[in-house]
Amino acid sequence: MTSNDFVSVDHLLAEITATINDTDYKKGFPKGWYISRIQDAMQELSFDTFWLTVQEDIEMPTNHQHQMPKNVFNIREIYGYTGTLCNPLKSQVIYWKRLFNNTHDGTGYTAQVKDDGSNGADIYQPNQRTYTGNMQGYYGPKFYYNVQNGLIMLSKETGMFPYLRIIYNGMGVANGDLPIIPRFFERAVVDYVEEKFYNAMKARDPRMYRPLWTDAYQKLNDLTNGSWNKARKRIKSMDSKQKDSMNEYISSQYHK
Amino acid sequence: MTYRYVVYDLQKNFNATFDDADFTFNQVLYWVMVVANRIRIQQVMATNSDLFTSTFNDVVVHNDSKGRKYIDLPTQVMDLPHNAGVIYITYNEDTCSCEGPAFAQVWFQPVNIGSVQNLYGDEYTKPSSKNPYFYRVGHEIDGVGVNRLYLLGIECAPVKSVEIAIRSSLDPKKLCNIDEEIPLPDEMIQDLMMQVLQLGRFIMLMPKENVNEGTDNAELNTNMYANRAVNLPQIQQEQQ
Repeated sequence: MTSNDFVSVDHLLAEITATINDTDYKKGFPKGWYISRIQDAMQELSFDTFWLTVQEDIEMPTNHQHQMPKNVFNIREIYGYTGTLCNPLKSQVIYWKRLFNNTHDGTGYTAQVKDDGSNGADIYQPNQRTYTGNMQGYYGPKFYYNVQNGLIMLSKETGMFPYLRIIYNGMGVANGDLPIIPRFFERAVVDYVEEKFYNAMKARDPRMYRPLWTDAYQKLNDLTNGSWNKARKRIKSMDSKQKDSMNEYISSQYHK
Repeated sequence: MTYRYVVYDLQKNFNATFDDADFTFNQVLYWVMVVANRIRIQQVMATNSDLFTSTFNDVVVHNDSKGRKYIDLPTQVMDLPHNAGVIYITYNEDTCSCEGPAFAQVWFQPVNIGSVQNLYGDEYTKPSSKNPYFYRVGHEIDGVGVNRLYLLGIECAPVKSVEIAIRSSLDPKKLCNIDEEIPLPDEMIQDLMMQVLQLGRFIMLMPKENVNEGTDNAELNTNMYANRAVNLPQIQQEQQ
């Protein structure tokens, strides 16, 4: 599901603090603690559902290496393109190459399987020849990248594109910024913060708070009706239009 | 119900029961205030009402010898968990009254002095002028008695005064007029009187032998004490 409707942090706090009877923030946790837990919830939902995508457009680095920005994980797409940063003209998908590790501008690199045939004599690695356009058979793409320790390393040929567009999954906002909460995550976030609150209070008064925590944990994590799983299902479900388009595509593909 | 009415009533009851005792008006008045303070805290814990709330609109912010900002508490505060005796502290300026009063927007949150360092570990709890805190120093600073609230997060903000709301305790020293109303709900006056009578009765029932009447001229009988002074010579002889 997609949406452009969000709820504010204060909206959530009003419900959370009323539920746990801490509207005046006098139970030992400041307001910031609750906001921090809300951000935690959004972060966990990001890891579980990949709901947030972040786009980065950059000039091609001269050393063909680019440090991933903060608050992102999981590269979804990479393109090299011409034109301008704001107006891509020709674009090329850049693929992931296993165990690729460049040093400088991709000219020198190591990889389990090299595309220049330089380790073609390796008896353990058959079919490693120099692939060229003149040869028969597969002429593989040479636009590829790999990531190590957050460093995106690009092959030499990607340098023919002046710009890169990289789409990541985001972890939510940077720590310290106000979290962004889609409305369909509201239940999950509220229940998550309540569960964390009772979990913390367990250490102060186990007899009072353990049963409350158990209830909150169940409300959050129940496999059938738990708000966390409902949130995961919601974000992974297709929009009605997507379903409609998919149905049309599938139903008509044999008649073209 | 005024102090005068209740205290005279209590004093009369005491004198009726213990006709030889000398219960002074001030003594009973003091007991009334001691018990009233206890009942007020119990009432707050039970109802969480604002019956005992006092607000102060212009409490001056001072800097101590280390440049830390603080305010002197204008009156004694109920000692409730997590500094709940201080209901709010906020900036003394309604910057956007359309959004409600200042204390509905930014308020200083309570923190224990030992937990202050923990606040700085999280970007969301870190003290700032938008997210300020206070902690209490209620006993002494360098041996001098104080009753302060220190303010965190406004180190670089030019804050001259703050508005504060507190749940206050009764200070017997500040009672000037016994015709004032006792600040308790009327339905609690009975509890107040019962507890004061119980306090007085407890005092009057103290064992007689523990009371120094001032009329006994007999020498102290040291044999009733198992003290070393009685036994010491014998022990010394045995050692010789």
